[in-house]
Amino acid sequence: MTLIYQVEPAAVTPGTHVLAIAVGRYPHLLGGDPGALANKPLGLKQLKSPPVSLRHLLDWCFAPELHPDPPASPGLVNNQAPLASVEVLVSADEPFVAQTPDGQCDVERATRNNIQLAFESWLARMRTHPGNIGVFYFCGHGIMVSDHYLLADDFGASPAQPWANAFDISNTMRAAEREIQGGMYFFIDACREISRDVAMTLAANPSPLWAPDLSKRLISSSLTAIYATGEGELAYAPLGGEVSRFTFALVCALSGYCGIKAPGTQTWNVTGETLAAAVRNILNVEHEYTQGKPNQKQVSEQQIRGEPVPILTLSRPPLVKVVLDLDPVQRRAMYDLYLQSVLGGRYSQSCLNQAFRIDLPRGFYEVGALDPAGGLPHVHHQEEELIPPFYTLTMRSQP
Amino acid sequence: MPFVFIHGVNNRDGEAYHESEVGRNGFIREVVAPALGVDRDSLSILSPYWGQHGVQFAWNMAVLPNPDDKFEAFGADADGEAFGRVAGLVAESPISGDIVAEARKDFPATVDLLFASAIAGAKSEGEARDLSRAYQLSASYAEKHPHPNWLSTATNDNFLDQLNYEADASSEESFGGGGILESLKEGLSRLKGATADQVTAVAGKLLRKKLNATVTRFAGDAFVYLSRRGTKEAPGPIVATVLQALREADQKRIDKDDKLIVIAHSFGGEIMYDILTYFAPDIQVDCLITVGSQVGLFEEMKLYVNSRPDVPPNPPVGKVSRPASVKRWLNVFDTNDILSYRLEPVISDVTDFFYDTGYSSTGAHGGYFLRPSFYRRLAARLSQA
Repeated sequence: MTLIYQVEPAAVTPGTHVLAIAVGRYPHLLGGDPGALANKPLGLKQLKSPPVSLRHLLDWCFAPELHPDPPASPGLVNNQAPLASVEVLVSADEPFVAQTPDGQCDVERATRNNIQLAFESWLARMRTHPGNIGVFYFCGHGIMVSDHYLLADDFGASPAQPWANAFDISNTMRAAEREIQGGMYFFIDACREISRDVAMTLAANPSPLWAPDLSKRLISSSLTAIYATGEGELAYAPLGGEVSRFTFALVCALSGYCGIKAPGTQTWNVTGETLAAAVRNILNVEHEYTQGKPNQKQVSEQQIRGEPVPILTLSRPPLVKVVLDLDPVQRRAMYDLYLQSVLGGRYSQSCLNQAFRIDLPRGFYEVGALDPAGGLPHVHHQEEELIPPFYTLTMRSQP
Repeated sequence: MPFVFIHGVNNRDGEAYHESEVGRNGFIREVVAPALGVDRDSLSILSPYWGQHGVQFAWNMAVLPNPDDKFEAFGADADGEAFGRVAGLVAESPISGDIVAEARKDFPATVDLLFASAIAGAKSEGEARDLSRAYQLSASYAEKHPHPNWLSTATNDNFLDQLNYEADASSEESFGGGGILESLKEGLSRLKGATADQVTAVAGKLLRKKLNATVTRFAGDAFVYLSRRGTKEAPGPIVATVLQALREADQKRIDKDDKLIVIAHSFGGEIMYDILTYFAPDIQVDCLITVGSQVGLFEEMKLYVNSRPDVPPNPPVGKVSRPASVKRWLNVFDTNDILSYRLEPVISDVTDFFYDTGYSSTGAHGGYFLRPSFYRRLAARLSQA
C-alpha cells in the first residue's frame, strides 16, 4: 500500500480521505506476460488509460497546492473536510511515480492483496472522525454478474480459482455503509458487462473487500456511487493512453463546473446529486462533440443515499461551458455570436468560421447572432438560463 | 442504394427465415455494400417474402415414402433453430470438438465456421453487423497469419479471446471484453454441442430426411409459380409480391446513390428473369446476382413467359441476349449444388462465378448465405470492374 499524502495530526477535525486505484497492466490477460495468459481471460486486454486517468484525478486533488498561482482548477477544496490523506495503487507498464505536494512518491502495484490492505487502511482512517468524507476511485477492468466485480492486477493468476483476484465492489459498498459514519463517494470507472464465463462458474464470485454484516445498521451519513457506465455496458477511453471518458467527465465536473449555492453564503456545494447529473451531461455532450459511435455511447449511472454531504465547497460560482454555433455553417463568418448577461457584461466572437466556445458564470443571458453588415436577420433568444456544466445552442439564420 | 433479396423455393416464415434474413442483411451491409461503394448505414434492403403463396400440400406430404420425412427441428425456439443450422454446418464440414486442433489444421476455415456458427444465432441486425465487421478483421488476420505463434499454446477456453484480441482494430480502449466475444462464445458453444457424435448423427439424419421433403417442396413451389404466375395485366401473387418490392426499391433511388442491386437465390432467379423479360422490363437493375439459380436451365427448357423456341436460332452457338434493363449480371454456382446451374452458355454478357460452399450435394444449395466467406468473395468479385 502506498499512502502518498497525509496531513498530521488526523482525527481532530474532519477530513477527506482518498483511495485511488488504477489497473492498466494485467500480466494474466491478453497482451500480458508471455506464457502467463489466464485460461479464461474474458477477452480482456492491457489498458493504457487507467494510470493516465488516475494521474489526472491526482492532479485535480492536489491542484491548490501543486498549481496555486493561479490554480488550474479549484481542486479538492472542502472547508468542512479538507484533504487529509491520499492512498494510491497503480499497475502500469512502467513503475508509477506520483507527484504530491511533498514531492515524488513511488507507488505499489494494485494486486488483490495490496488493494485489500489499502482498503482496510482507508477504512481505519475513515473511522477516526464521524465527519470524514471518503473518496474511493477505481479505474480498470470490471465485469458483472449479480454484482459488480473489479479486477486486480493479478486477476487470472490461478487456473483453479480464475476469478479470485478480483473484488466485489457492490458488497464492499454495503459493508462500508455499516462500518463508517462519514459520507462516501465511490467513482467506478470500469465496464459492467455481464460475463457468461463467470456466470457459468458455481460458487466462484469474487469476495468483497469487507464482508457486509447485515446485523449492523447503516451508519454512514451518505453514499454516492457513480458508475462510468450502465449495467451490462462498456466504459471507454481514447486509444493511446489518454484519460478515460468517465474520468475526464468526473474531473471536469469537479473542476468548477457544477455546484449549488448554499443559501446566505458565498459557498457553492457539490453534492452527489449535482455531481452525478453533471457527469452524465458532460459524457453526453462530449460524445456528440467527438462524434462517437452510437453503439459506444457511454451513460453513467448513480446510486445516492443519505444526506447531501458535499464533496466540494467552492468559493466561486460554478462555470458553464458554452458552445454557440450557427446553422447554416456557411454563414458563421458573417455573424457576431454573443451572450449578454442580465447582470451586465457582453461576450462575443466576431465573424469567425467556428463555433463560439467560452466559460461563463451561471445565470441569465440574452444569446444571439448579429450580422455587423446588417444584411442578414438578427437571431436572438431572451433570458436563456445557463446552467452548469454545459450550455449548447445552434442558432438558425433564415432565410 | 436499394438492395432487393428475392428468396427461392422452400422458404417458409418463421424463426429460421427471420434469422437467416438478419444474418444475411448484416453481411450485405458490412461486406457487400462497401464493395459497391455504398454507404452501409443508408443502404435500404428489401426482402419480399412470397413463401405464403407457395405450394400447399392437401395431405401434408402424406405421399412421401416415409411420411415422417418432413421438417425436423432441434427445438421450437430460436436457439433450437440456430442450433439446428449449426448442426447442419457441422454435418457438412465435419470437425472435432477440439477447435484449437481444427484451427491448427486450417485456421481460415475454422474462423469461417466459427463466425457462421455465431451468425446463425444473431438476434438482431445490429448483432449480425457487429459480427460481420469482426469476421472481416478475423478472416483477414487468419489469411495473413495462417499459423500464428499463439495458436501453439492456445487452449479451447482462450482461443476465441486470443483470436479476437489479435484481430481487433478498436478505435477506443474499452474496460471490458465487448459484446462480440460473447456472441462468438455462444457460437462456439453451439459448435461444440453440434460436434458431439450423437448430435452429429442426428444432424446427418436431419439432412437426409429433409432432402426428400425439400425436393418435393421445391418442385411444388415451382409448379405453383409456373401455373399461377399470371399475366402482365394480372400478375399472380408471387410475382405481385416481388414486383411490389422492386417498385418500392426503385422509388428509393436517390440522386447520390441511385443504383438498384438485386440478389436472387435459387428459384428467385427465375421469378426475377420473368419479371425483367415480361412483367416489368422497364425496371432498371444495375447489378443482378443470381445464386444457386436455375435461370439457364429454365431458358433451356423454354419455360419463361417470353421464352421463344426460335431464339436463339442457332444453339448452342447462339445465346439469348441479356435483358437490356440489366447492366451487370453475376451468376454464382457451386458444382456440389445439384440445384445450381451455369448461365454463360445460355445468356450473353453474364459472368459465371464458381463458389465452393464446402458442402455435400445435399447441403450446398442452402449453404451460400450461411458462409461468411461467401459474402467476402462476392464483395471481391463485385469490386472488380
